[in-house]
Amino acid sequence: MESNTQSKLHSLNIGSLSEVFTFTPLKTSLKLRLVCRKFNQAVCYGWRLRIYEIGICVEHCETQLSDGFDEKTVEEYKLMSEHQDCIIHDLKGLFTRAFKLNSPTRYYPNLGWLQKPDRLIVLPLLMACVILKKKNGEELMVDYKKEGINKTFWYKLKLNFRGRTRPTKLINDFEISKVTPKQLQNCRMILRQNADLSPAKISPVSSCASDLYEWTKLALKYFDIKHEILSLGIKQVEEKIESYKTTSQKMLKVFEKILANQQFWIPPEQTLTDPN
Amino acid sequence: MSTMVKLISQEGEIIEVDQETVMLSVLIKSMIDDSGTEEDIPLPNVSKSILEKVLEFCKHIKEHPLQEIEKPLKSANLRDIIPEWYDDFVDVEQETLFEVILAANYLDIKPLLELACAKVATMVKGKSVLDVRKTFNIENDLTPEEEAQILEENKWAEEAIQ
Repeated sequence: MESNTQSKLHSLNIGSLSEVFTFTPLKTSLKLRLVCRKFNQAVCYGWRLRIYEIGICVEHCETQLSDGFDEKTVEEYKLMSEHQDCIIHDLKGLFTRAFKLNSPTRYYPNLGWLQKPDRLIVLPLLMACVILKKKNGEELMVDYKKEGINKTFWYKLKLNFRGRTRPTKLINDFEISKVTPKQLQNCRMILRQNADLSPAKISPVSSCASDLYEWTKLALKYFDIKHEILSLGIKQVEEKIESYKTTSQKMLKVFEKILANQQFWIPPEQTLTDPN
Repeated sequence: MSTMVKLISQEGEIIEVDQETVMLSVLIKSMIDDSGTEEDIPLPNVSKSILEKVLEFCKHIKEHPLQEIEKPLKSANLRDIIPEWYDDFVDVEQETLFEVILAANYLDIKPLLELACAKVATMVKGKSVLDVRKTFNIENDLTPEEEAQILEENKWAEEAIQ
């Protein structure tokens, strides 16, 4: 709501005005320092206020962690987290084995020879690609849903795994935390529609595809565990603490730098609620 | 029956309200703790109309608690974050909103101060510096040197918070 009359915003004391800047993202606050001298001071003071508040929130979360969960839940959480770590390690191992990335002198799967697409090879590669490459995976899924497996599709898909450099880059760039629900949904859909797929069936045709099939199943297992972990509630509190600490550190870093400038220095003896 | 307390507004008018409602104000609570409910409570910094608005908030929050508003705001539309009543409550003229902020700060009513400040934050979110100055009719009192210094600090700060 805009007004033509003289605004009273400027007449707010710094304590009240600074509260506004605890609600704005850091970048917005930085920009708003340029509005006027009072805004500049209020932004800095708001940060100080927010850092203080974050400290209280972290303490609250830490109390929640230490008192809010029984021993059995904590133990369960620990085991599941360890299992997830193992999966991450195994995922790299399986992928490396699939493309023989560890043995430079040995043959590695050159998928170029296969002109006619075999679904037992195509589907594991497609599922792995959907999880490994968000954008390409989505494009491939559109083609797969529209036209199914044909030569054009196979050509597009195998390009992602061609040679040694591409698979190496794929696995090195892969961050499991960035996999989206949509990617998982697509992958699960392929598995549902192709329930006959199994390592026993795939491995005589291609060991690479068989490893990638297992790779996909293992990646999905990781997310099943993640779902179970979330149901315990501990992870959320830990993530909250992490996020609070990251924000606070960023703010402190900037705040200290700005505070070094005497002009915007706020005496520490002033109270947090009413510096005026 | 609940105990009633008498609040005296800036204009000298008396507003009677039940004690439980006003205990949300840390200032009034401490005054009652010190002097009891018999004595009138003078609030020279709050006008009658704003005091009535503040009391409306205090009454409502008693029945319908307001969850803490997440910082920074996830949306520029408060309605996405808080119940409709609270959004309507702060959907007022700028002047009234700022007076509510001043009153909430003076009376020390944290949820009201946060709600009103969150509303102002939605009003500045996504706006350029010039737009903010225009919207709130603020004169730029920074010297060119100060502006240059802030710009320089911001450049560094933006890299630091990446």
